[in-house]
Amino acid sequence: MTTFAEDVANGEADEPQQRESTADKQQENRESAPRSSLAAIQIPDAPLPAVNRANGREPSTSAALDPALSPGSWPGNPRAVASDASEQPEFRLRAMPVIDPSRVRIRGAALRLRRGSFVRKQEWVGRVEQVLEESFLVSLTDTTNPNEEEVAELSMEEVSARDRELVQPGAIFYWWIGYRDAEDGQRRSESSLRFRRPVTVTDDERQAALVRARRLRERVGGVVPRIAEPPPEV
Amino acid sequence: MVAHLGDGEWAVIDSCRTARGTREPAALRYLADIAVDPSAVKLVVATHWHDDHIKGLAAVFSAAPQAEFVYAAALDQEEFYAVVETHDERSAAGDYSSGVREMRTILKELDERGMKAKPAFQDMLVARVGRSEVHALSPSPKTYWRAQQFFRPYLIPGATATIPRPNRNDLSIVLWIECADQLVLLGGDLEGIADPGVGWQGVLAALVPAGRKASLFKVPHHGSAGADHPETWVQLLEGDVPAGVTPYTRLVDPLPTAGDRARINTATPNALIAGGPLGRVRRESLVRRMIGSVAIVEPRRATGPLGQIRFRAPIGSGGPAAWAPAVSGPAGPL
Repeated sequence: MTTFAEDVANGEADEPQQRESTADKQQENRESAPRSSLAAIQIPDAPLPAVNRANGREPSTSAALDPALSPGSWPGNPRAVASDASEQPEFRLRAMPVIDPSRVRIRGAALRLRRGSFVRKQEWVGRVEQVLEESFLVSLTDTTNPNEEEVAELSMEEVSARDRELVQPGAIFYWWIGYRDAEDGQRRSESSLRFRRPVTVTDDERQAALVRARRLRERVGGVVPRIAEPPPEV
Repeated sequence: MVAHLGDGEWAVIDSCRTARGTREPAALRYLADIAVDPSAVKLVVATHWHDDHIKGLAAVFSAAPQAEFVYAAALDQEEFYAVVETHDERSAAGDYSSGVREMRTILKELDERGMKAKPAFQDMLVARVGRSEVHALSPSPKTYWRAQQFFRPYLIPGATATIPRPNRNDLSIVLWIECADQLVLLGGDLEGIADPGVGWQGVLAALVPAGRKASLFKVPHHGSAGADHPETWVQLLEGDVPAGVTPYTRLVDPLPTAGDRARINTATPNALIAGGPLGRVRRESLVRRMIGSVAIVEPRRATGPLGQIRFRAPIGSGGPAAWAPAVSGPAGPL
């Protein structure tokens, strides 16, 4: 039920990449960043402990995998080396975060082994039209085959837990289908749905828009006949 | 829809594009095909701001320098203008539909021309053009107030600023055109058959018809059941009235449904539809497999090939039999 699809096809809408929020771009960057030969781990959206100002590393997360940073070994850890604390008076180690292993992203060699390189065979930009109990109806612009507009019903189970609250009428998402050739020789088909974070209008923007709206309506608005008082139930 | 109102003067009511992926409004294409200059368009009507009714309307209005612009009185409110004026901020986020963009462009064009829009309201004579009078049968007073309440929350400081979606078909204008002895009822997208004073119950309470019946009917809201009040056929339409239905295919269950077709064909044997069957997109097997594992209803084309229905009757003639239908492309019997 949308012409957003037409907008995309006609070039009237911003390109999907341009519409992605900062969070989306960060996510994209994480996925497309050059692989490092060293493995590192990253905990998105989790409160990290204070950074060790002596070396700029993130002690709580890296230490678990890096033998050079075994727990308590880095300078500035007040629990391990008391003298370091006095040398780094501004340093305060906060409570260690509880790490959910499912949220840990692994980069580097380990990532290549697990994920390989993703080849997109099909890509849509979609918009949610209606949300049902366990599914949602969407309109899709096929960016792989320009000018193809489609509709479909997708299962809510395909949406990640953190995106679930974004599944609202009007929400924009990206749907990719493709495969990965992992370094272990396996080819795995993948489907990925990712929702764009909404950008809200600030109160200042809204107030300014209201001022412009009043002026515009004064100039071009018509004459509406006096309309009776609304019925009580309205 | 394009209507010749007599004496070489025309109205364009709503707009769509000629084909997928094109920008040309179908109304301008049609006028060009029959060698009518767009300056002959005296009236441009946006029945409501739904995307499928307003696409390309700004281009139509821009090409018609002598046209008045008519929209629903329910939109002639500060609240709606504020929504339109936040277009710049919101469009960067991609949250606005093209309906808002079209409305904004038209309002700015009006501003540049130093013209005012004309809000349409129930029982209002919208315009006299050519040999015709164009009346509005909706929106109703109750709808006007509801629209205000619909838009207002968007302006409350601290609101989440969720954009009001243009999903209010009860705001749609319904037009009643009298051209000599021919009466035409254009149902727009007006829905609602249960709520007194709103939708088709509001239209049936309007004053204009006063016992007169239309000999040509644009079926509202793509023939859906929620827009089909049985009394409309009895009170406002001649028997066996020629009727035109526009399909809406951007739904998993496209309109009109099989049930809608049967119901309308029972009401009149002279119903035509302006669209053809939908097709599926060919895909690689890997993609087909993955789609099957993800989608409850697999993607299918949202739009089929577009057709055209034309009804012509000599000015001065009367009754349904005077209308000569013609179809092109995939348009045909409902």
